[in-house]
Amino acid sequence: MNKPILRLENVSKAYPGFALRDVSFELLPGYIMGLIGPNGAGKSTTIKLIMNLFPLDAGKITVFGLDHWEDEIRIKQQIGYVGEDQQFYGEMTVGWTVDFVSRFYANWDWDYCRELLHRFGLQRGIKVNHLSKGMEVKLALTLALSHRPRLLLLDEPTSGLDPVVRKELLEELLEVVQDEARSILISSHITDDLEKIADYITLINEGSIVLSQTKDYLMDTWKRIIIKDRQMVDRLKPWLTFLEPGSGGRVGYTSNFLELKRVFAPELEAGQIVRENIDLTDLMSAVVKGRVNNVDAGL
Amino acid sequence: MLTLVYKDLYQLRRTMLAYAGSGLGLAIFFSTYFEVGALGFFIFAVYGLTLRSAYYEDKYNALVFLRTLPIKAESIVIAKYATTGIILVSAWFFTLAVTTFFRLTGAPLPPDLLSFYVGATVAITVIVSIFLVMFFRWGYNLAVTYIRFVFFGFFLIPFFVMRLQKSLWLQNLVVGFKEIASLTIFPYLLALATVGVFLLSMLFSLRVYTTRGVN
Amino acid sequence: MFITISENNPVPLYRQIVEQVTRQIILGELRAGDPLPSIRQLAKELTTSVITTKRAYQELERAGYIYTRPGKGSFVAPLSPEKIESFKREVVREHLQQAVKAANKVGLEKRVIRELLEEVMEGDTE
Repeated sequence: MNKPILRLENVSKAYPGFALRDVSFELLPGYIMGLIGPNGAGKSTTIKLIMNLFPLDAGKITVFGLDHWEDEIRIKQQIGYVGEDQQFYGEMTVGWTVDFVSRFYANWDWDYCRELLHRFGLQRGIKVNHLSKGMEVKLALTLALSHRPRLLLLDEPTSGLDPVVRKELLEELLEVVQDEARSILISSHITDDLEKIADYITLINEGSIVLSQTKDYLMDTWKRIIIKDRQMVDRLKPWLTFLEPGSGGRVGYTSNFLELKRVFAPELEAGQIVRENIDLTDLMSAVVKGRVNNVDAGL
Repeated sequence: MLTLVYKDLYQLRRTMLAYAGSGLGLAIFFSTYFEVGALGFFIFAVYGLTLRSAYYEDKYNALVFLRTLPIKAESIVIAKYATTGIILVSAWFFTLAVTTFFRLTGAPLPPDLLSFYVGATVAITVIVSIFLVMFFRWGYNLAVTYIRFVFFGFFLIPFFVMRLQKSLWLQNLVVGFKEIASLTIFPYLLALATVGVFLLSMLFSLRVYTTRGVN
Repeated sequence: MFITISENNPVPLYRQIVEQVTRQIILGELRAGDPLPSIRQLAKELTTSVITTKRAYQELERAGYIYTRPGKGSFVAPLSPEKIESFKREVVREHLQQAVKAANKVGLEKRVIRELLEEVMEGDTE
């Protein structure tokens, strides 16, 4: 089962004022990938390109081994998509919307659908117009999950949701990947959610992929380094991809802690250098705020 | 594709009922005078319903939503045309039925009126066909601007002209029409041409919508 | 099997899992042949990545605490009493090493360290 469920190869798309360049990454079955990046980095565009909502300028997208343009309908039968904004017909009821959407899918699981509607507290008789943002997202999610898709594409699904609902949602997603054949790609600029459950992280910034790695590896190799001994500052400079402003070069981030750990073992031991774990938000800031000393942040 | 057509018609149910009701009401109120007015009603009903159908898509950006489902872009276009076709045909039959009904008391429809009907049908079909192409190519706003311009601009002109020239212009038009219309194959040609324009515009829309992408 | 992990803990998540499972096996809370949750189930229970639980299980298997049967899952490995004994020693040795390290850091003499050890042990039996 090692064929990727989703594969982007050198995908490019240009807009006036913004361009997605040479985007490539893969997602294997059974895993959750978090697509992170600052606002406007290109996360949404990437996902919309996978959904073929607009054509590529260059590159190739393969889903379930099929070409995303040629076999679009076959692919969409097995994709559950939740966009940033929900574009349901406002005057229609929840029930009508569910019925409408179900007709397009061959694999609709009504029992599961009803269960989700119940669990999310969605009543069939309510007009979509009268739903709160959170409820709309829940409806979108119900529709996305009810046909048991092999791939879930979620574009900022948690913005606008309160923490309780977000937690429920994450649990539901983890349930999805209990089946090793199914995968999830979530884009978010709220990294807290992804921090826990993501298996892989792909970071995109200004239209390009900066890195695509297992989250664990990233957390192992990216550390915050605090230089207690001023004399060490110069020695450590080439190791740090980003220096915290105002720290005088004494606090920075390294992307290569595994090596650094070896080379500076005695100093770490002695406490001349201290290392701290960072979270995805820190990682994103460090990468986005730029490079220092030409140290490559890419891995 | 049929699901989409059902959806369109379902969304239009209230509007259709409103038009049918007002059509009937106007007919009752104006009785035999309704004949000429019926034309205006027919055109206005088709205009209104087509516009409203497109409006619903635009209001919620629903076309984007449809594109995220396993629906071909082609199906979306064809469904819209099918709905418009149904609107045209049902409005046509409805108007004809109401007019005929009220004429049961009197003489059969005069040929002038009939040719006006034909003319109106052709005109509105062409107008709506162009509207749909514009809708699929440039979106709702531009398409609406166009159709409103055509509608009020175009149809207003003859009224003013008529006012100024009395019925001379109208008579000339009628004479001209009669001459062409007297050819036996004319009605078939006209029908063909109308359907042709409709289908051609559908091909245009298909081409334009499937390559453009949604935003 | 009851495990909790915390991101606030400086120890990497997968290590936390390894440590807790190991502890439970050594203490006899988990016995030879007991089934473990699948890596995915565990990931779900702990709200963490499957890769983390996978790594933890790989470590546990390497160290000989568990074994995996493809298609069946992972189970606690049978450990001889000697093995358990040596694992216990290993765990305690590590803790003691930390303690000695800390003592050396603040410059306590060996004699003092031994005194402290006696004190603590006495205190425990009360």
